Amino acid sequence: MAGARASDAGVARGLAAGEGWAIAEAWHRFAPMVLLTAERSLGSRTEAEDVVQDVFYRVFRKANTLRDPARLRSFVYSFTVRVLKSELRRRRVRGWFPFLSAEPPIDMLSPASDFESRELLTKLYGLLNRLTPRDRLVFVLRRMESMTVDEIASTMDISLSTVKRSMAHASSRLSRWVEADPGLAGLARGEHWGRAR
Amino acid sequence: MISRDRDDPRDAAALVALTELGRDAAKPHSIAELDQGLNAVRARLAAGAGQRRVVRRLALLGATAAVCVVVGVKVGSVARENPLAPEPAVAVSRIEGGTRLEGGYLSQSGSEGVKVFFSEGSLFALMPGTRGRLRSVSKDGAQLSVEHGTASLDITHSRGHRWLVEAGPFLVTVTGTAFTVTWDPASERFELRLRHGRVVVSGPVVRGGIALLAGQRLVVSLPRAETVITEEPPAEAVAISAGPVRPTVAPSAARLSASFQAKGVRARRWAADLANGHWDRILAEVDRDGIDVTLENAASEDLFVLADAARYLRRAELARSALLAVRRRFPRSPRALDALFMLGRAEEARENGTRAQAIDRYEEYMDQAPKGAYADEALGRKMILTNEAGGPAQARPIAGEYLLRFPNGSYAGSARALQRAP
Repeated sequence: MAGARASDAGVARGLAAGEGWAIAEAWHRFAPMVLLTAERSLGSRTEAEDVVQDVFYRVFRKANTLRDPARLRSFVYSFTVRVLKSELRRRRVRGWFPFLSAEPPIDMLSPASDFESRELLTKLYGLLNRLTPRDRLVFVLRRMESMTVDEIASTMDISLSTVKRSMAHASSRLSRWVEADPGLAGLARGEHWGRAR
Repeated sequence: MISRDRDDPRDAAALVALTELGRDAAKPHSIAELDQGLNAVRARLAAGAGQRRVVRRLALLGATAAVCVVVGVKVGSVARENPLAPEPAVAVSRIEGGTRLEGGYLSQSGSEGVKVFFSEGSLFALMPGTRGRLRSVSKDGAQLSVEHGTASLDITHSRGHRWLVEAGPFLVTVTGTAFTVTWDPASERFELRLRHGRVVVSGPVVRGGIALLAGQRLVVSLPRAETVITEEPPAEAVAISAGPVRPTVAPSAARLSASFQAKGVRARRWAADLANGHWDRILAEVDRDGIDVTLENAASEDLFVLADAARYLRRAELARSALLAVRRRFPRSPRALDALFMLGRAEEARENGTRAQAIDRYEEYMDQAPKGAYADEALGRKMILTNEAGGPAQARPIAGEYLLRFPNGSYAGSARALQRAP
């Protein structure tokens, strides 16, 4: 069955066969989700759009290697995590060299948000930049994407204990940094909060 | 190592709030943006551009790293100190016609306006009477604000710098470009004329952001919820037409149009026009060929492109007609279901459309495609519209259903907020 009524397995089989409708359907079915994950992980809408194109280009090219067509969603997510991880690694390496271009600025701005909210976001992603790519991704998938530990382990192809260790590491470091930042202290009392909504 | 879970009370409350801010700040992409992305991926697939950005970046990175290992920290320190380094830091070099006050506000001292020159060559010029502000300037770029009046910007392109310009509730994301931006708080009117380069404008009415290309002019009227994009002739063309010698007469519009009558050609060209923001061209062609003729003869993909272009240019009736044509002429195609959802969006945008009509469309879509690609958004929009029409009490059951079906969906934040609302 083609189009919106097709199951994930049907779409995967369509992709493997190079069907045009399957490409459109897979895109419309999964791209919104991948875009949000990428934007939350990178803090940049523009970078997220680049990443998503990379992800789907790989997915469409490699669809015929998917052994269980019913697992198309996981397949897409695993490519997403791989591309995000490599993007974060790339940024980290660039950060070692001060004469290379800086971190992309935070442009995940809701239309109604004000500069204060944007500054808070800039601070958040400034702190996330200090984490390792793996810790950062685990934190974002857990806290912003509400994925379970099992799902993260499966998607990132790492063990449960590694996920828990990364999560603990990321949380404790971020908490410490946030508490040490006087500009963020007000957040705990609800100041600023609500402006970006 | 002790493992900590997501609701670990030891997490700083501020971190929890920050994380929520980050989660909610990411907004779903519009259908038009998604379609543009799909077109781009298709183009890459068609071109077989196998060695992609990542590979190129890794190669570049490898080469860069090799160079850096050789020259090391010394080069870094030289780069910081040398004004001729590849990515010069952004800083204000001088201000003409005024001074910078506390908070970054620019005060005019004469009648010529204020010009702010930046160290890497960019210029921020306020027209006389305009109130503007340097919100922040860092080595990586600047955040500027136009609170009232007109400003002209000429931003030197640099991959490492990012410029943000706030004009009222609108935000212009800039790379390297030149444009004029106007914000009138009294009439709540925003205008941007892009001379060259590319910018993305986000704000009310232009949900999800609009990418503008050189020569385009965007006008947004908030009271009328109206967005109009027009193409203006480039400066060279104006100069030619104003001169005494007329250019050779171009082939007639009819001839040009006839040459594109083959449906395949039209589909490819329209898709490219849509992706490149040339929505005016699509509508001009339809107006020339006749709306009814187009609606009766165009392929389903063309009709979708037409619907998108019409929506962007606020011709909601035409968008609706194109989608209805898809439903009528291709009732069994998968795209007919997509059209049903998009009709809901068209009803929301239409001058005489009502929330009830839009909700009906969304419900119809969910009945026919409960697991369809737009089921999440259809239920989310229904929830939002119900809240607008009847308040939280009426919308709350829908919010509950939404969270049950799409706990991580695009509208999950709004649904949770509705559930918490008094």
